[in-house]
Amino acid sequence: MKPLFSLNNFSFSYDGKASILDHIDLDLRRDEVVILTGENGSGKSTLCNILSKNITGFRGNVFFEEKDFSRIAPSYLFSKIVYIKEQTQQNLLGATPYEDIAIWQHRFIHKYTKHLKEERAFILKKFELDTIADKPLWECSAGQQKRTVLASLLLQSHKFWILDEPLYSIDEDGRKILLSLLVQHKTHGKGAVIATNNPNAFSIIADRIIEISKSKITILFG
Amino acid sequence: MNDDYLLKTSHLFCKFPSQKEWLLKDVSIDTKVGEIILIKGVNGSGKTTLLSLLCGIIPKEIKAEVRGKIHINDVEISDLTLAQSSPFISMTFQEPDYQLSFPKVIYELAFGPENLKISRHEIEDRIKYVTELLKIDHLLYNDIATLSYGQKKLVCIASIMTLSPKILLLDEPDDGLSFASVEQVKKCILAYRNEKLFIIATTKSYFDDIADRKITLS
Repeated sequence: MKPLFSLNNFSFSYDGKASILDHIDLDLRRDEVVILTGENGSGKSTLCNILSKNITGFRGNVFFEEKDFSRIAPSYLFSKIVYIKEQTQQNLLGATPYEDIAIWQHRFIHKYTKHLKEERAFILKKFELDTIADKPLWECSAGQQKRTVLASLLLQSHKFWILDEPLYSIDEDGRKILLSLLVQHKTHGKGAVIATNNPNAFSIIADRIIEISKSKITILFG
Repeated sequence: MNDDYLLKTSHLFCKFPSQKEWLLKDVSIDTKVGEIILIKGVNGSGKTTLLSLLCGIIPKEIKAEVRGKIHINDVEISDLTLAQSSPFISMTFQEPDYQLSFPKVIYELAFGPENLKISRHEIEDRIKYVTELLKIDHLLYNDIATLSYGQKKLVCIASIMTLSPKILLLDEPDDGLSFASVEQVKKCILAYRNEKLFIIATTKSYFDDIADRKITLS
């Protein structure tokens, strides 16, 4: 299968001096789950940000669906991928978990369906948010906010997921729910990139584990 | 206050204005300097709320209905202002961006002790010691805005260490940290173990092996 993302001879630096990533080659297939790991500050989030066009100004070639990445419109890119940032609150849209899911539903709906309500209830229940569905998000704990963010993934199963540290503030139950979601995602032939400090938490679904260290990448597994 | 620093809560209840039921129900903790206590519990069980209560942010800054008492030795925490209590009991937030307020790492680390009129020499010693333990000494003159989430988290932990209160409340200190960094944080905690009381709220199990006790909220 042709890669979704293809990085050739890719380098990136914030200040033009110290390279975060230095001459790396990496292909990401649309059906594989890739775990990115590495020390704090190694460049995991930077890579996620580049793949989702939040950061530009790299050297080398990046291709998305075999087209030049710089010519891909963000609107097109985000019809194919979803990016969950590590800072929980940067992903939240609504005032309550219920509203947040509702916004995602209406934003990404292609045709009207009367099952929206049932769908919403199902999603909230899946992440055990049903009891706090109407609680203002600013009163929710960090873990509850993170669950709300992750719940929106259920509406985006057709996309490639880029998840930056999805386990922050998440308890053991929450981790199991996310893992089951990822297993389901993978069995439907969809992939993900997960940046994490804790690759073991995802080892059962990982096709590849890639470590970023000293601006180079090493394949630890796969 | 004498040097023993006993922290005691008796029958602590807390709920926020929008809530009907108590979030924290009858929490009694009795602990002293030299201990490492873990606060466990699922998402939304009240770990952060308990830490905020202990250091007085609730109800002084965040309004909530509180019953019960918190004592450090014979002083009730609600009788002190935050400025008075924070040299003794202080907290790192879960979200580093809420805590960090200076452009450079070194300013952030010096700010706490500077306000306590600690000598320049002593502040430099503290910064050197802590940043070497946490292996962030190479970041001292970096802009905080350019640090990664995990590095910011380490700066937050370093900043409470340089303030050096007797009782340290750490909220999810392991979030965003690699295994190597978690080990450094543990080493740092153990270095201060005898002279301080650590209360750590976490959903993960990284600190289980160094903890004296676990308190599970449900």
